[in-house]
Amino acid sequence: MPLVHGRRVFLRSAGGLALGLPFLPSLLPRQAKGAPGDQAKRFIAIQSQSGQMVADFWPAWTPAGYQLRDTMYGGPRADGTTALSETMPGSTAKWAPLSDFVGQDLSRVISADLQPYYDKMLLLRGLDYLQGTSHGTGQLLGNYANCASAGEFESRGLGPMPTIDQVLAYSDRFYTSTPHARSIVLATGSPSSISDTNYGIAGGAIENIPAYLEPHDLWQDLFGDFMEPGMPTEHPNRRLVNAVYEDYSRLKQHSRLSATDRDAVERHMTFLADIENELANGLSAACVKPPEPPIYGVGYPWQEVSSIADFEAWVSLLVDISVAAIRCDITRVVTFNANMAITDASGAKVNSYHSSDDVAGDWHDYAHDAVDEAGDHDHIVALNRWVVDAVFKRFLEQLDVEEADGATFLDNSLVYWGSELAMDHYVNGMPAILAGGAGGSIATGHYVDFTQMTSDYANPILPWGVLIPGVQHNRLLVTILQAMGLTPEDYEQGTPGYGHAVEFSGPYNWPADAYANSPLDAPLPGVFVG
Amino acid sequence: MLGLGALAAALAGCYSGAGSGSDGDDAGTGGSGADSADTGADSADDTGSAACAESSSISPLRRLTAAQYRNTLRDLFAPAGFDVEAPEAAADELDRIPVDDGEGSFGILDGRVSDLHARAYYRLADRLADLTVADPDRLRAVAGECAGSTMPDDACIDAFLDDLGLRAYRRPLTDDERAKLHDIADTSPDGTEAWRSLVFMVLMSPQFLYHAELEGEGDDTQYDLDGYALASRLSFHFWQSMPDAELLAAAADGSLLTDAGYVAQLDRVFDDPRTQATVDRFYDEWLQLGWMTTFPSTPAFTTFAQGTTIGQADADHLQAAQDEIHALVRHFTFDEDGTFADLLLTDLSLTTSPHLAQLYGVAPWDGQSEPPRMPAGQRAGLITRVAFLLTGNEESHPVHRGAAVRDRIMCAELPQPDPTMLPPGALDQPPVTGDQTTRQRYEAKTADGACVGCHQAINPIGFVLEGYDALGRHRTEETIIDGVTGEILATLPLDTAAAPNLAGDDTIIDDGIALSQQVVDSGESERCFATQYFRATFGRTETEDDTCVLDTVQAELTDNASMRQALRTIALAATFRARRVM
Repeated sequence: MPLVHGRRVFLRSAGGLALGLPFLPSLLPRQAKGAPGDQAKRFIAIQSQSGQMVADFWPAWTPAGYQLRDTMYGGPRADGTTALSETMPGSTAKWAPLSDFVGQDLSRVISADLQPYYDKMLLLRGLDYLQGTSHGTGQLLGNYANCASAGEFESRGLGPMPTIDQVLAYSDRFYTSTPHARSIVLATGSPSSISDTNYGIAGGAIENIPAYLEPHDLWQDLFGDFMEPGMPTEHPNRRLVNAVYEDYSRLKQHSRLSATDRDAVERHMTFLADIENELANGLSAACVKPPEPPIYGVGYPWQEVSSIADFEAWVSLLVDISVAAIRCDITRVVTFNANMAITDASGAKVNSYHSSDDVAGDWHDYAHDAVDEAGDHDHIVALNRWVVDAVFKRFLEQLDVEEADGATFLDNSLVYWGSELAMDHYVNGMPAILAGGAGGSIATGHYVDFTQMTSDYANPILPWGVLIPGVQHNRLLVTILQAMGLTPEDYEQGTPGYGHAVEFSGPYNWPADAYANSPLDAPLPGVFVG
Repeated sequence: MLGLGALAAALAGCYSGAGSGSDGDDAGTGGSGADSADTGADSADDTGSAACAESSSISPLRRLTAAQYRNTLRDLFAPAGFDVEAPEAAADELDRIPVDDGEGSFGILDGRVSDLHARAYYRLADRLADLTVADPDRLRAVAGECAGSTMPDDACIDAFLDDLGLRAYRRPLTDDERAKLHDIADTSPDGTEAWRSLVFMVLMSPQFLYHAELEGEGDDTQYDLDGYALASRLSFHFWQSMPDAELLAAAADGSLLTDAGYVAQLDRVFDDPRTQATVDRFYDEWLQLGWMTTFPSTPAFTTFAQGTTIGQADADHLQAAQDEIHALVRHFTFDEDGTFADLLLTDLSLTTSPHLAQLYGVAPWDGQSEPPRMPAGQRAGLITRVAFLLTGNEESHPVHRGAAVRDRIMCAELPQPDPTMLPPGALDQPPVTGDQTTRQRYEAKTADGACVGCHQAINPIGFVLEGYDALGRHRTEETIIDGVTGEILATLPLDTAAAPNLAGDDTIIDDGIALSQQVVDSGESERCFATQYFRATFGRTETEDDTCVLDTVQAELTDNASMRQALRTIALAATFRARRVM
């Protein structure tokens, strides 16, 4: 008869009573903070890599009743995009129903193929990263400080913070019980992800999470390794993982470890606890396990793409497997970093990777040359269109099936697509596309422009855009966190809102008072509805 | 110049590790403690090593790197004839170990332990445990003749723990560890599950997955490593894998803690071919070689590559370029008593590839006879080789090349430009025009006052290297190619004269040979090499506490000690043989 005992029992004997030590706070049974019966919410974040020509995201045509900014404003505020005239109640932002923009592509990047989802979407304009940081792996989701090795200009000397997906992943309020997978972190091209984490260890080092590249790896970890539905007995590895956990617990007490060493050991213990949880609980009987995908051998080094068809297939599989995991409630958090995408701007599909070198045909090379060379600009547009279509839209399609009470998984989710950097390393006036209502917390169906068109600080950087203050990107983070059910006490770290709010100034930026009427800790008006 | 004897004595004065606390009478190679300090007093002063005796560097708890983990699994099961890397074994799972990302530096600097790591460890432990018990012959080979499907007795389990267990933990198991594993086996439903559980437990243990160097003489904040931990330090540094039987035996009998025994093992380890592979990897990561695996297929590159064999089915330019660096390093490190200066100044061509040789304009080396020499006046050392000069497209890139020399070879602090302080378009590449050379375009591009401060330290190096095109071919004029159409726009004369100011003077030079000589004369490249090698050794950046080690390695390189000696030196330092907790 195998000796089987749960992790909690083991903890009590080895980590608690036997050694006379208190339980580790991170491993204490989590107390549910969410209200009973609350519908689970999910957060999915997708990033197109840096170097955006932001004007390509905005409508630049005139449906009935609309005019271009050139007509309405002229001067430095004229950029050829569609002007919005209706002021959002209680705000200076302008907005318009997305349904006004049917009939053709919404913009160069956002194709008309998304029209079926317009009532569940938001296009946001005018999000400003305050620090002028750029290229941070976690910037899109709130780690404005970049990674530890960032250059001074990229980190501004700021301490790193977990990205908000990881705040959610380790939140007791978001996950009222230990999930199978706290988050799924995906990427194409390289394992660099947009998720930075301390794995829920307060004060622990912030690290970039290596991403899944290969669909089979993802499938195996989510569906292949652990308990099958209806598996009648204890998984034989569970007691072993418990025993291994004890080894790490003992190591952690060793007098010859530093505090940093202990953090590393505790982190490993957290992962073991997650594995043990999967072994203990298995998948729900209602879970529909997706078929095992083929092994493509994708990924690193980035040049190794066997074929465009394979690349498209494995990106689809990454999305599909993730959504299957959401629908099985294996996870509620997914991030996807599109380091590599496909462009057909030259008439044939080719893959393009955002490498750090100016290799001909790579995304980075296109970004640097897009201002001067129309062909490279076309590639940037094509790459983004592909990400919107192959990743963003596919998530919407896969999620928009009924979950309960007439609401779809998409209705209970929030899908955020964005980028961390515009052209020439500017980070102002950035776009975001949101989809899904986060269980009724987000009002959808609009194109919302937060640009302060009456601001004195208008700085035209043609041909790709006009720099005019909007709202701080921090407020989008707060919007997302609150839409997912968190309260400020769950995420604030000594300052209002989320993400550093250190102002900076340079000859091509405006002073901090540009945001005088925009509190950092307030959700975006007209977007967050509680 | 330090002679080898004096050098060993100086280093002995540097460490407080091996032998300290023992008899101290093993001083055949310099001894330890007070005796050795006396022996090497003069040299110790020369290298600043007097302070080294009181300092050791911080050694954080680190996981095995991806390469170390793979190699250790391979070597752990190899004596049983179990090839874990075989496709039918665990090749697919081994490929799933997250890549170590040194973010432009050494992969060993990536100390992350993520969920993906933990899951990879879990799956591999599960797979290898399953495979071990699935085949009775394999089970006996791994666990001993007594292993089978029936419940094992204590002696059988102990034999396993004394063999595979010891090698996996890289030390004998403690009584508590033994008792626990016995309990795991004893509470298994049958013998098969008992052995599966034992293999799984060992492969998941922190002792296997981490460099847990916790034993040795000293207090809890600073102590000399015991023999087993020292054996692991040696093997993982030079082999990227676990200690072999001889190292473990030297740890067991105490000889590794004697100076003579330690140096003997160091020499043996260094001469093993696995050390060459590690050194190859060091140069790959240091110089960022091998990043390019395919040539572009654009019209512009096609035009540019005309006259080469690029595109032929057997063409191997990129791999051959990397192999050539390895060959040079091996030649001057393992085959000859070459020096650091030799590596930077040699005109030998060691490529055996006819394709790469064609780019150089030499005959391929046959691998045995006297290597050919580069055409006179064209190349000297690593900086002038194709692997270092490749840009990835048809355009040379003087800024990238200059920055690579300053950053990689000289370890100069190159602040990144703050884009928000630059005018729009400042970071865009200067467009190709038919009336300007690459140099002229970049000179104009970086002439702005906000740019010139940094670029004056970078551009001249790159301008001198304009004598090599984007493929690393030597040239005297530049062919300007339209980046879109591939049309040849012009052929313009080159101006490669510039003053890189590497050695503190403004001498104008105009070729890669003179540039390489300036790098050597600067006195900074030796320090840089020492620094880079330190990082690759210890998996962290250096601190003030590491000054002694860096000084010592630098002194050897500067004084033209052999590369072999320089690379061994770090393992003779106190830092290498002790651990400080902080």
